[in-house]
Amino acid sequence: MNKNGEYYFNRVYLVFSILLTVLVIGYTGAILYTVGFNSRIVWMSVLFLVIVFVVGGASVWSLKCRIAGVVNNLDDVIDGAINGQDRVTGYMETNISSLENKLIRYIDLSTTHDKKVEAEKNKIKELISDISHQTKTPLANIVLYSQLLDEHSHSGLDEDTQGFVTQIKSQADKLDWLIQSLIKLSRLETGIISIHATINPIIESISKAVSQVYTHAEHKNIEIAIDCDQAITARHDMKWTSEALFNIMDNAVKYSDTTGKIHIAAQANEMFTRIDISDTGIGIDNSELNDIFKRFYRCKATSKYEGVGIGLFLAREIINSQGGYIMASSTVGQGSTFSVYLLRM
Amino acid sequence: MSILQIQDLKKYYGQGDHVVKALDGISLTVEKGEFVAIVGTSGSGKSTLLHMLGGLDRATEGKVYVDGNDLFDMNDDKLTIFRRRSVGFIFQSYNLIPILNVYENIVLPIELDGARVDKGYVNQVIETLGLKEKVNNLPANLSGGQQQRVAIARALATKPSIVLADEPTGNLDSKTSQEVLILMKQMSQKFNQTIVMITHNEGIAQTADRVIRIEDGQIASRSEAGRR
Repeated sequence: MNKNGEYYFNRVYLVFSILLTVLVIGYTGAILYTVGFNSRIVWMSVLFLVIVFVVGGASVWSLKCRIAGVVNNLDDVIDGAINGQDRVTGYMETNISSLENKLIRYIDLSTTHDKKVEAEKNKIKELISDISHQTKTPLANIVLYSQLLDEHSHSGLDEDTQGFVTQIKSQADKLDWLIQSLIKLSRLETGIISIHATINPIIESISKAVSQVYTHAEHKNIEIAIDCDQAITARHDMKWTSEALFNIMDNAVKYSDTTGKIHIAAQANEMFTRIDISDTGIGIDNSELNDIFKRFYRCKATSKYEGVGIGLFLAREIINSQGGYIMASSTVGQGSTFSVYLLRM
Repeated sequence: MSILQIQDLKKYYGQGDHVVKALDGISLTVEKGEFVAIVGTSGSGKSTLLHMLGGLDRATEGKVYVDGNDLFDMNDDKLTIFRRRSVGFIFQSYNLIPILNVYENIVLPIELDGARVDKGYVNQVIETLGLKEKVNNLPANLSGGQQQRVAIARALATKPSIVLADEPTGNLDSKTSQEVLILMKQMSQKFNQTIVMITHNEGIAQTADRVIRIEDGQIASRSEAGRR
């Protein structure tokens, strides 16, 4: 019970006990005055006074206990209702019982509302997932036929048409990548794929990601250096984390000129294992550092590069969902560093 | 839903020619669940501002509303209870009680209020902050980063309307500072907890939702960061 309530109660008790004392003393005095001094009456009055106080005290004390009991009971009722447990009071003819029922009804109403909102959200996510999934086959066909067309084109197509075919192919590839990413995202968000983070050495996840970007990097003559102790572990899902790391490294390769360098360093700190991925690429303007993780965000300086702006968003989703964190720092023209924090414990 | 409203807040010290304007007309609104960082050099007025928000000091002019309550309208008794229930504090020097173990330190503000501990919630906070194996340790046996994590858990345990952090990473090295900031950000997201933090650490822009720079008692710049 709060201090305020107790304070009021104490004042009430004080006022009533003073009133009672005055009353009893006054009454005894009046009797002594009318009857004259009598040791028996004095003795009886004292006894009466003591008994009245004992009885009064006892009743106040029991009342106090009772009130504390009621408050505790209410606390149980509220806790139970919030946690969705069974009714504490059942259906009794008491005020508390009816209060509990009202409370439960209120909580039910708000949870139903929450569920409705949740369901609607899921519907939208499902829709995205459906659209992505349904477009997969026709898209695969477009890619296939454009390849066929490309092969045939050597036998007598004019230069313009040849250019169009190349365009169709590259646009279809881009669309294919976008849809693949969307499928991954929507599966992550709807929880179709759940992330199982367990304690694993991170070197494996890093190597896996590096192996995916290696050809591209070699093609651009970019050097990749890994500085990671074999013993460093972190709580992470290896498949998905390497997907996230790949997205970051892919950007590092994409936005670096030829003969650039990518440096990957890992270190174990108190709570997190930190993986730094530094590149010598074009860099990110400070004002855009917080936007780069947003869905479909593309930096102003990157318009001449291919891309749809979903890789870093996906990376952040993956890292955040396993209790980690991702951030970036950068100097324009000199390069960027992405720091991935993964829980150690 | 805004949880904190500051209207034209002014705090002057001294009189006449010697008046020092610690705060000179600051207006700010913080939404529920937001993680706001207030940066500025020492003497810029940021500490004074934080004291006002926690009801530790009264303003010369202006109003502060926390969760709809006018702070300067309350008497000292009410303000004490308000602080205990609705404000969580995180200090630079952790301020843990040395003779209480980690768990006892965390639930202390709840027990001071005579309320019952929501064990499920408190355990969740402890787990998220990686303190599960340390609950029976005394603060003296913990590293600085761990002590500050205990202080964060203690500030969150009462589910306050707002958590005020005064240079929470001031005593920590840069690596641990970064970790503590990340944890604070994660707590603010996971438990929809409003946090206002003052710091002179400039590298926090990536963790806070919003950075507000204070100079000479006035807001010099606001930056909207990556809200998610």
